[in-house]
Amino acid sequence: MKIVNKRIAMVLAVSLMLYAVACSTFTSNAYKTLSITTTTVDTARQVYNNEFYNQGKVSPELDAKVAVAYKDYQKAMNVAISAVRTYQLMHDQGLPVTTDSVTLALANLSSAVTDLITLFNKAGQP
Amino acid sequence: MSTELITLILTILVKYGPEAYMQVVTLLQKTEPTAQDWAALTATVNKGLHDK
Repeated sequence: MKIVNKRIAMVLAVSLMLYAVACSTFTSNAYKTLSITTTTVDTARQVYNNEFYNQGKVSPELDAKVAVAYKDYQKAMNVAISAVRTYQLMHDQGLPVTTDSVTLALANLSSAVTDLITLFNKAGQP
Repeated sequence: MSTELITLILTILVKYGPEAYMQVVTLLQKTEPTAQDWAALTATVNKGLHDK
């Protein structure tokens, strides 16, 4: 399993590097960031539920904290999605637009995701 | 994409395996997002914590 994980990590690292230097628009890059983040969080959520919560291995206290962090993540992600979509709409109509709001929204999202994943990882720990 | 976010994504995807990786590979091939893409993304984000 560790060897498979290392190979996956290497291939993923190469993919991310190629993506970073590829010719792509700001909207496309932002969308990919949000999509990858959503996939990652949703996968972690499913593992949290299937391997821990549904098995009765999560204390009510921890689940309550996870629920709050999950709501915060959803709010941050929805704000980030709105920011990128607004940028996309304005850009496509030729209106003057900056990337500042998207950058701020992504920074806020990163913080919310980190907090949530940290709590997911506490499941199953003594 | 920030270095921290890349590190987080790598860590989680290594932990959760090839299916999650393949979803990421598919996403990386996307160009401009459509209204349908945004709707699908929003639907995933707004799932309940304990939903399937």
